[in-house]
Amino acid sequence: MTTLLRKVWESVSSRTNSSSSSSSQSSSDRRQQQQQLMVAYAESSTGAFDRIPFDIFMQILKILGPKESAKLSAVCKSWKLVVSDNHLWIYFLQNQHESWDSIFYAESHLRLGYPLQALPNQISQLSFMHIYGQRAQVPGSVIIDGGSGYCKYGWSKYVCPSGRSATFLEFGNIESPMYSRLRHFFATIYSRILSNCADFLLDVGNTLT
Amino acid sequence: MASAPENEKNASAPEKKTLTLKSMINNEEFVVDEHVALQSVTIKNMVDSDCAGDVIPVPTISGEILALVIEYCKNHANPSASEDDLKKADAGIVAKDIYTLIDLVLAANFLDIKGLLEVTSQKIADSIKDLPHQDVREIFGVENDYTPEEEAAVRAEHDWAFEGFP
Repeated sequence: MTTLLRKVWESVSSRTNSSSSSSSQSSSDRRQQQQQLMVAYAESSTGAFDRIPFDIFMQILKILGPKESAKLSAVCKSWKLVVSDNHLWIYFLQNQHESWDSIFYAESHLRLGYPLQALPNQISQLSFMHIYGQRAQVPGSVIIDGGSGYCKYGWSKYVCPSGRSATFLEFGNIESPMYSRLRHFFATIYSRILSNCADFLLDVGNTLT
Repeated sequence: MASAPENEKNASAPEKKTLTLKSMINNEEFVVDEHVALQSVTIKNMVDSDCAGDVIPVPTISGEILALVIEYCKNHANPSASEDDLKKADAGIVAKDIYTLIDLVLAANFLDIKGLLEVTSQKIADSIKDLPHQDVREIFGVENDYTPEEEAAVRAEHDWAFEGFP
């Protein structure tokens, strides 16, 4: 299996090299990442799983779900590499009980870090696995953080989240203010509090999306 | 192993044709009704493009595994089988040790039998689920290449997934 994968990789990589000058940078970058992952997978030992093709391994992880998959990253280094695949965690983020689609949209921009980058193909450090982990831990309170030059809001599982990290849903600053979105946000919260205080905390998650 | 009785009910079926599948690992041969074997997309493509001879050689799949695959195909080619029966039969086929399951998943992948691939992957996932990662290592014979510090760091990084595990 190892040699087979390596052969596939070689044939694909030579094709990439010949066409990379004409094709778009972002898609070839992504392909390269995928290839690097597959090569690492092929070269390292995953025990009896060695014989299982990469895509079937992925399929099994998808069946296992996010929590079980993340746990498997402690098995060995090569399993960690497979489990950390961004495509897997995009799948998990998009296939939640509650739809996280809109959050996912925001995340895919926010994971680029601040300041927001204009080019979406400049992928930075934050992995979707990391984002999923943060999401999985934050059913709790809402953070609204405003300053003279910026305003942001998000949520946290902590009662007093200040000073702790959280993934924020929206960022705004002087160049790109977010008054209208914030006004809508506060108005919704206000009306929820008026109508039903107990429902409020449960509903905030949906409101934000 | 040639003709199953349930085919007699199927009056509209054209004259019965059989294919012979031969495991290239231990040269075991299996005679199968064509409509049973055609659940494999790989074999269907071979037959459709007329490159299937009287005997279809199946590389890398042992006779033991091929027998399981054919059992699955027979069950699912039977039009009178209820969904419950099929579920029970599938469960019987995948009630095997992990090494057989991996052989089976590879066979299903090679022969391109979607249903079998799904039930086998599900079974492999079930056998990992809820196990501490130390046990997963043992079952699959994976060597732990982490130092204790590195392993602790990985766990700390994803501590949300390790709640309730030693």
